[in-house]
Order: sequence, then structure tokens, then C-alpha cells
Amino acid sequence: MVPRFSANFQIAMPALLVSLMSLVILTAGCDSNNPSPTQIEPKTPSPSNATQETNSVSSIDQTFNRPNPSSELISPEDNLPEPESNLRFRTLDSGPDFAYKNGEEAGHVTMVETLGGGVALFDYNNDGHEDILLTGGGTFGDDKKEATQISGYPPALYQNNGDLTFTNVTQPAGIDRDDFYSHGAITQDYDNDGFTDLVITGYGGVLVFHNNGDGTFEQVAEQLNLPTNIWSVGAAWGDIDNDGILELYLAQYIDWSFANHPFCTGRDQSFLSQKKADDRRDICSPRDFAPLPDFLLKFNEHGTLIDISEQAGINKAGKGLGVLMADVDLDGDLDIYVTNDTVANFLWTNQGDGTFRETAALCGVGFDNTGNADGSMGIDMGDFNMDGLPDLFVTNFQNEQFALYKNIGNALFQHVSTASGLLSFQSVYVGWGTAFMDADRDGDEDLFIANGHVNLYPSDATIAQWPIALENIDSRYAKVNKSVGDYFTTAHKGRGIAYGDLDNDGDLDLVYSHINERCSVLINETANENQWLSLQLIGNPSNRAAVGSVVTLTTDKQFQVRQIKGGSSYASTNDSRVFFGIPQNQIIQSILIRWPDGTEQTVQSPQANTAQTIIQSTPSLSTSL
Amino acid sequence: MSRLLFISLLVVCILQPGCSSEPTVDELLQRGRNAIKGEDWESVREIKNQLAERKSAQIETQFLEANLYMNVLNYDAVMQRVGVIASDKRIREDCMMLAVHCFTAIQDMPSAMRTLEEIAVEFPNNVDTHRLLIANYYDFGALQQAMRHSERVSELVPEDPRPDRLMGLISKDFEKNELAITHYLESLQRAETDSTFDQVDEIRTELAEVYIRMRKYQEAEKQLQQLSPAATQSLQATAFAYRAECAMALGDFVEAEELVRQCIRKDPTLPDGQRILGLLAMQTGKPEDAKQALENAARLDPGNDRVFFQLSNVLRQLGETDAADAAYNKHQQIKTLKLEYIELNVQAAQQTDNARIRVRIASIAEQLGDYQAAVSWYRGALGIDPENEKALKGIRRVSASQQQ
Repeated sequence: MVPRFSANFQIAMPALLVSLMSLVILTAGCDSNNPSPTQIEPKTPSPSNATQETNSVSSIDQTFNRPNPSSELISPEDNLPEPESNLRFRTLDSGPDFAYKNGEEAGHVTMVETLGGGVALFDYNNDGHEDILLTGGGTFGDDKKEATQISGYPPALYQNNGDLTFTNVTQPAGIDRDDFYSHGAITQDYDNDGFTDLVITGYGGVLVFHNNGDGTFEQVAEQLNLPTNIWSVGAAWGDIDNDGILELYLAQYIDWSFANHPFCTGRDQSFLSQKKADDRRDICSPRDFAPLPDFLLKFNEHGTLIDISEQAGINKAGKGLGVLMADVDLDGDLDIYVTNDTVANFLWTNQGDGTFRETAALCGVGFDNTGNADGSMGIDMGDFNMDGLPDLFVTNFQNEQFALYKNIGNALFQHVSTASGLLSFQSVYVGWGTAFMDADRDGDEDLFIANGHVNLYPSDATIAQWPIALENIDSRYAKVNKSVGDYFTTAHKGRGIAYGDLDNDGDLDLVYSHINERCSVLINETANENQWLSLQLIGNPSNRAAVGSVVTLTTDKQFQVRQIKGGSSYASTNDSRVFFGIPQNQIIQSILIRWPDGTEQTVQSPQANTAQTIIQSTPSLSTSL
Repeated sequence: MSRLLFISLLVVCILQPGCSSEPTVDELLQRGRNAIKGEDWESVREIKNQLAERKSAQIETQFLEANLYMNVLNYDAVMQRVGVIASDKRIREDCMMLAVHCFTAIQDMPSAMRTLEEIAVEFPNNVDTHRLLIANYYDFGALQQAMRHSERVSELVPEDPRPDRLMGLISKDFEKNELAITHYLESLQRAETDSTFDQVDEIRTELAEVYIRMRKYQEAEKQLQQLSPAATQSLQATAFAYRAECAMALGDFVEAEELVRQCIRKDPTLPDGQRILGLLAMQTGKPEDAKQALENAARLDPGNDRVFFQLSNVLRQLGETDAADAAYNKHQQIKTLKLEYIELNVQAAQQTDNARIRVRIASIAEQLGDYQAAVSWYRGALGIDPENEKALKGIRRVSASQQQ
């Protein structure tokens, strides 16, 4: 995320049209040899043709009687027509009544309050229904002079009752901790005991809640020796050395604190005309702060986590927000992709010997298509063109392209946003959480993005923004907001997003986290005759969560490839099951699973429209529904 | 009776305007001003001689003399007189402008700028002052000041489309897109009533570029389709290139290719044509074609870091690793130079008498292939230090390379 300032890499060259401009300006009524004073009364210039927009007023603004800074702006809406789409999502009224709070009402205008929080979909009690975990955020001390107190709000865990109603079980589950200002919700079974555990990231620490298996959690961050006093948003679990035990990658952001809290203005005063100068305090750019190092943590023989960053070659500091662990180069081990805000993204390519090499620039996934570092936030991996090679999608800041990196083989990627329809909508969006998911079960992966600005006084944009729904049509994306549902034609301060099958009806639903606005649960109601198949993989001896598995579904007409990823999106975790959508006229022939340890397992002719559990090394199929 | 008649006649003469036999000093001064404005130097001389005969008209006489000396480029004589008479409020503004032109003529730009700024403060409605300041600040890269004075001219001369065009250009270069649009549209509106303004096509093209950046393709198309048939080949080519970008972004690759080919036919030397052709080839999976086009673009625009970045990606796809590394390094080198260029521009605006900075800026511009800017900055350095060896060599070098 970044407001760009005048020292901008993208400027090819300020066009110094010296002779021409001087001649033009000087000869227009200016006689250099016979100067004569002109006495002209200034008149009112013609009215500006800039469009005017309005923004929805947040409840916080109303509560504190603060005029919405963007009240004169309307929600962004492309003028370009959208194709009709069958995609439909209904906002669930019975979803969790919970809002992430960022403490902006204290008026400190901090970097912390811009990042928002995430959402995790996981089955905490193994009852077969995906539950919802949302991080709580935080607040600041009231004292304007000594504003050093940064407090947290506890997360909220909502048990899915199986009927699309949810019960808040935060307290009985034992996770109502407010140790620090929180951001990310990362769920994974880190100890292979069959129960999904929880990591909460934030400003000032990390919490790890071990799932006791009885509906309760125990906080064990200190026991596990997690680093303290860090600022982390994105994190991911993955088995980088295929020993069956997960490692944890924690990305850190920037070195902001109240001791390092410069006064930044809303508009770039170093350049703009005096008439348009804006000296109101606004969010600073991440460029104003130093990067911080990330952590790669591994369990030792005592069951605590040790920092192996240095020995693993994780030796560059970034401004990390999103983390993805997946086999990006399809060489059988997990790589790590980190989205960095205003500096080049990282691709830590696993060398297979316990070390990593940073190869983002070489592989073509570090920058935009002109060589500039974007303000990158969210990340996901999918196969948008169904060629079997995993592609990467990164959400970026206003006036930057959301980056679709097409995998062209040999660990090389090409930035194809132009060709894939991602430039067909305006450049006002600041993108965060994102999801590759086959929402209409036609076999290809669509894209969903949460948007929302960070600035209080954004230039040429609104703070609350429409999310984006992109339907994949023959490997090209079309924005279909106007068809999909009310949520997508309403502006929000969106941040984290996670997908999962909340109602176990075989299609993927969405949950969005917002800043200071109730979260939204969107139930997929896309109606068609397409088929589906969902798989719950259980690894043994591979890590039980099967992170790193590559699953290929073959039909009589096509094949689809999915991976079980660690991390992805923004500060969020998706349903851990693998979902396939299959066009109605196709017959599923087989599923091939390449487990993290390299072994392969094939399931012939799995039944369509079922949810399956597949245990590693078990040749027969176990049907759970 | 005769005495009464004489007194009556005398009273009538006094009361009747224009009845006196001699013009006043102020009247002569005004006539002199009009003659100067009309470049009627014979009349100026005559009036000056008339004023010289009056003991109370020394200031006015010297003023007209100064103008006469200006006409024959005797700057010393001008400055001698101006220095004496400039405190007279009636002619102060004119004297200050004369001083500016003298300073400019002898390449004393710091003095010229200082004087212009003084005029702008004392006489804020002097349009010519603001215009000269705009031109000089633009030369020096002090774009914020150029913007400030452009705003003033825009207010003072609401029918003039030029200042808003310049503000649009500066805003565009600094990616202040909405601001650029506002100014460009204002300029176009004013141009409707200015038949002498011949930059409408340029504005439409630049405005289209901004719209494309904001992905407002329909607005961009609207502007490009309004280009006049008399637009230069280069502008027409640029319009085709931009339309190709719009088509590509909207997924019409066939149309995009046709448009970019038209661009190249119109102007094979336009870097944008080759660059977009390369981009199109990359997006449609034709790396060999992309390589050729991007290499052409790099030759045409050696200071474009983006082209080298894209070229490095394509070369890597083709397995030409060494060439890819070289192109990437070139991209990095250019970016570093550009950063330095921007930083030095800011310093130059603050240090109007620093020749060394200007020489360095010129050198960077030269390395980036912007020879026009290089010459401008070398000249700026010489304006401060006329004997500056590096600046003199730089100008000779650039001129020689341009002739090759």
C-alpha cells in the first residue's frame, strides 16, 4: 500500500519541452523587446470538469461526529459494461455480528490502523462444519501527547451450527485474549494431532492457540518460544523439508512505532499547486519506514520453535504482508512467496537442501510489468488458464495493476494482467485479500478481491470501495459485480477474505472482514447443473494437513490441478479442503494426489457431487458423506 | 473693449482642453510609451528629444533613451539608465522588465530570475513576468514554481489555453492524473475561442495518455478520435499507439495489432509503437516477436528503463540468460540515474546559482538520451558560469552527436 510521491520510478522523463514551451508561452501576447505592463482583473476560471463522488459514511465517523473525509465522493464504478454472469452470492443475515475495530477514532493516524484483520474458516471441533474465526483489531490510548498505549481486542470464534447460523464460542473456547493489536488469523494443524490450531498475528507479538480437541484452546506461544515484540500480519505453515512436521513463516512489516510516527499530509505538497495543497494529517507511506526481517521457524527436538532464517538463507528484510507456501516451481518442495509493500516481492525458492534462494526478480514475479515494485498486499495461487502450471495473483495499491503472473514453465512467470482483462476496470482500487476459487463450478478458477483505501484523504479515490468479482471466461477475467449480488455493489473497507463451503452444499462461499464494519458472509447461490467434488486430505507420513499436496483431477475432457497451500489471501485462511468444479457434461476419470513426501496416490472414478476424505497410503476411497 | 475681448479669449483658451500649445511631460511620456509599443523608434527618438529640452523631464528622457538603447542591444547603456530611474513609480515596472531582458541577454539568469520574482511581488498582475518565470522555472526543473506562476497566468488571462496546457503536462509527468485531466480539459475549453492556438491535437493526445493510465479507455478513445486530419504524423502515430493500448486492455488483440502496425507505418521512429508491439507479442505468447520489437524500442528510446525490463523478461523466457541479465542491469542503471536526476532537479531549483549541479543534470540527461534536456541544462550552467569547461564541452559533444 502506498501513496506515490514525486520521486516516482515510473516517470520515464519529465518532458522538458524547453524551446517549444518557452516559445509558446512567451509569444502569446508577450513582446520581449517592448514590455508593457498589463493590468487585467482576474476572472473566475471555468469550472473544473473533475467528477464528483460520494462515499458511504462509516458508523465510526457518525459516532464521533467527524465529517467523512470523502463524503463528497461516490463509490467507484466502472462505466464499462459488464457481461451477464450466473454467479450469485447472497449476504447472510445470520452471519456473525462482529466487526474488526481499528481504533481510528483516537485520531492518531497510525500505520497500524490501516492493515485491518483477517478471517479463518476451519472446523475447530471436527463436527464437519466450517467455523469462522475473525481477528479483533485494537485501539490506542486517548492521550494525544503520550499516545504510546496500543491495545488489542480479542478475536471471535463463531461455531457453525450447521444451518447457517453461528454461535459465538470465543470464551468457552478460551481464545478471548487481547494481548496485542491483532491482524492475521492463520489456522493449521501444526502438531499433526488431527485438530486445527490457530495463530493470531499482530503488532507486538504472536499468539498460538493449541486446539485441545475438546472445543477449547490453550495459548502456547511462550512455550513454543515464538518471537515477541514483532509486527506480523501474514504467516503460513508448511513442511519445507518434507519431514512431516510443519514450519512457520512469519512475515514482518515495517519499523513503525509511536517513537517513529512522522506527520504526513494527505496530498503531495512538494509538487501540487498551492491552491490544492492539503496539510491535513494522513497515513504515511510505507516508504517512510525501514523494512523488517521475516522469520522462518522450525520445531526442534524439544517441541519448541527455533529461528532458522539465517541458516535457511532467508536473509532479506521486506515489508511483508501476504505469505503463501506452495510448490510454485513444481519441483516437489514448498516455496515461499511474500508480498512486500512498496519493495520487490520475495519468492524464496526451496533449494531442496534446507536453504532458500530469493528469485522473484529472476522468475518474473517481483515487480510489475515495467520493473517497479508495487504496494503488494494479498496473494493467491491458482491455475487460471488450466495448463497445469500454478499461476500467482497479487493485489496491489491504487494506480497499480493487480498482478497476474502466468507460469510459463521452467520456474518463469510472465505478467499478463493486460491480456487477462485485469486492466478493464479502473485503477482506483486498493486490493487486499484475494481468492482463486471456482465459484460457478465450471472448472476454471474465478477471482474475488477485497478492496479499501488506507488514506483518510485519498486522491482520486474513495476510502470504502467495491470489492471485485471476476469471472474466468476462457482464461480471461471479466468484472461481473453488477450480476453477483448486493455486496459487490456496495462500498466497504475490505481487508481479509476467505472461502469455504459453509453449508456443505458443494459450492464455495466467502467471508469478508472489514474495518469498523460487520463482517460479511456470502453464501454461494450460483445455480447451474455443474458438478463438484471436495477432498479432505490426511497425510501420513506426510504432514497430516497435507500442505504441499498437488491434486490433479482428470475428466474425459480436461484436467484441473490444485494444491493445498499454506497461507495465501491476506491475513486469512481458507477452508482446508480441495474443491473441484466440473462442467455438467464431463465425467470424472481419476484423481491423482502427489503427497508432500513425493508419493503418489490415484483414485479412480470418484463419485461426483460428494465430499471425500483421502488418507495417504490408503488405496481405497473413504467417503465421509 | 479690446482688453475685455483679450481676457475672454484667454479664459476660453484656458478652459478649453487641448488648447495649450505644448504637451505636458506626462503626455509626452505616454506618447513615448505608445511609440515603443508600436516599435516606432523614430517617434520615440523625437519624443525623447522633446523631453530632453525640459529640465523637469530627466527621468522620462532617460526612460525613452533606455528603450532606444534596448532596441540596439546596448545593454550597458540600458542598465546605466534603468539603475537611476527605476524608483519612479510610473515607470518602475517597465524599468524592471528592461533589466530582466538585459540580464537574460547577457546570460545572467540568477539576476534575471531575482528581478522577475521582485516584479511578480510588486506587480502581481504582470502577465509577461509570470510567463517568463514559467519558462525559466521549467528550464530549471523547478516545476512547483512553474505551476504556481502558470496558475496565475491562467487566472489573469482566462481566455489563454496555454498555461493550463503546461499545468496539464507537468501534472501528467508527475502522475497527478486527476489534476492533469482538469487542466487539459480547461485548456481545451479555452482553445475553442482561440483560433491562434494550435496545440489542441497535442493536448488531446496527452489527455488520452492520462485516461489510459486511469484505465478510462472510452474517454481516451473520445479524445483520440477528435484529432484533426492536420495533426502531425508523429501525433497520429502516437494516437494509433494509444488506441492499440486501449484495444489490448479490452482484450481485442487483433484490433490492437492492426492499430499498432498503423502507428509504426505512420512513424517508424516512435518508440511507443515498438514498445506496444512488444507488449502485445508478450501478452499473446510470441516471445521472439516481442524480443525484436523491444530491441527496436530500446534503440529508439535508450533512456527508457521499462523497455529494458520487459526486454530482460523476454530474453529470459527465450533462454538468453546473459543477454537478459545485461538488459536487467541496464534497466537498474537507468532507474538509478533517473532517481538521481529527480533529486538533483529539486536541488537545482533551490540553488539557482549552482552551475555544478546543472552540469551533472545535463550529463545524466545526455546518458539517458534526452539531448534537448542536456543542452538546456548545460546552457543553464553556462548562464551561471560562462566559462564552465564541462558545460562547454558537453554542448559541443551533444551537438556533434546530433549531427552524426
